[in-house]
Amino acid sequence: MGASASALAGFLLADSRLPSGAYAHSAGLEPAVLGGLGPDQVYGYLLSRLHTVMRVETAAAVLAFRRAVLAQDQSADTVSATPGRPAFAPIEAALDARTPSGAQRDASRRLGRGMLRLAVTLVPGNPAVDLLAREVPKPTRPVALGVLGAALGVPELELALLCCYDDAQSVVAAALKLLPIDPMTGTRWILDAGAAMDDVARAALTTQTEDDLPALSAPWMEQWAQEHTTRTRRLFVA
Amino acid sequence: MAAVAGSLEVPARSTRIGVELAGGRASYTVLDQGQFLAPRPVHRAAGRSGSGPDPTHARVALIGISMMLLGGDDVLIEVSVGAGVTLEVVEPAGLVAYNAAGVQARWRLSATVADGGTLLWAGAPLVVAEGANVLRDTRVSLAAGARLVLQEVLVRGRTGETPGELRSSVRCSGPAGDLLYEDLDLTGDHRSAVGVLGGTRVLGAVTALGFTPPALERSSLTRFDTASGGAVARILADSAHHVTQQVERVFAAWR
Repeated sequence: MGASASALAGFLLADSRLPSGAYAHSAGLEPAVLGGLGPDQVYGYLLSRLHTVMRVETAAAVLAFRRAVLAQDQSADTVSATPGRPAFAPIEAALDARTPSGAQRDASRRLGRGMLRLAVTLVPGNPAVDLLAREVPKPTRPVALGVLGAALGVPELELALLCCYDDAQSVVAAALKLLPIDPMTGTRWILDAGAAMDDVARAALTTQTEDDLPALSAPWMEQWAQEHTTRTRRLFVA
Repeated sequence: MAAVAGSLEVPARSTRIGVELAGGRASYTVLDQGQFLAPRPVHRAAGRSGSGPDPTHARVALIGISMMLLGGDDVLIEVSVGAGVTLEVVEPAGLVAYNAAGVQARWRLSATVADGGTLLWAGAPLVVAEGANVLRDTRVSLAAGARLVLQEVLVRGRTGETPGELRSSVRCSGPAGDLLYEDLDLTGDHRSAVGVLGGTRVLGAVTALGFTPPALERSSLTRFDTASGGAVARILADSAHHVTQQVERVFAAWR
């Protein structure tokens, strides 16, 4: 794949106008605001997400990305194709074990399903996308993102950064709808969090197996997410 | 874990408890006093049916035998629960990690539970005082059909004190992989991270794995149903006394 094509794919996946259903999600910010989080805590929240949920998800996205690349390569070379070993289900199981909150597991799968639907349409017949659809019809966000990224030829480090960037932008976009925050300030936060994102993305690249996936937890985020499921007056699903 | 132990000059003597079913009764295969804690068998009160103590149920109290938790201390507890027996471990007193000017102290629990075995861990509060730095690591390996009920109370600082540093992980696995893996990082810049614990002082939790525990009744804990069919009940609050009381009620209902 050419450099322009992979760059274009990266822009596409980072664009909030992507029809994957992400607009309905606030990366946990709405539940947090309803739990008492104020405007001056949003940037801290964004950094906390990166150090906890995103460390786990980005590592999972990288694993899924690599398995997808492998599935594509094996399919191109039918002689070396290994039969039936699950590629993505073990990553999903490891993520589940690291996500005690059912509300967070559901939110991630809603996003993942939207992304898989998009993948099936954008890259029909891609062996990794087909394999994911067969093995895990309702994948989590990081696993679906990793597979779609691989199918579109996004490089590995960019994919990892994208995983972080998308989450941070979800926080900022939701913050502008929920709290009195200047859009310029929110945009500044994304750049300010650059070093943290780079740190998370590079750490994710060192992941070898499901066993190595980090499990950094955020008890208040889990608590807020769980409380959000019973609310009727809300802007965002999660 | 090997890397952690390898960094110590002198390995600490671990506390070891082993229980197996022999002749229809729970019997101790190992009961080793460690450098810090001695396991003392405690007589069981009458069983639930009122028909006298359940012979397959063993109960041990962990008694502190030397000053702890100071910087450089390495407390290691190794537990093995055999098939068809229940081991209940009680920590009679809370543990304070004292100001050690940031020098790390370790508290580690490593347990295996065989098929049809149950481990009931009634943990007392761990208080991380100002200047303390604690690494707490709980690992439980459950066979098919094994059960775990784990009670934990983590307290950040004594009243009015800036909390010390704490990294606490709970990793429980079954035959097919991880059942629950949580890693709480309250070190360095993350000590009061928004959405993690923020300014909250106490975290109390009861974790039940290997079975689905009953619904919580009139509890201030929040229930999280794990994907593996177990559950975690958790409370985030500022009063250690209140949290301990609430957590103990859930532990009693779930055990």
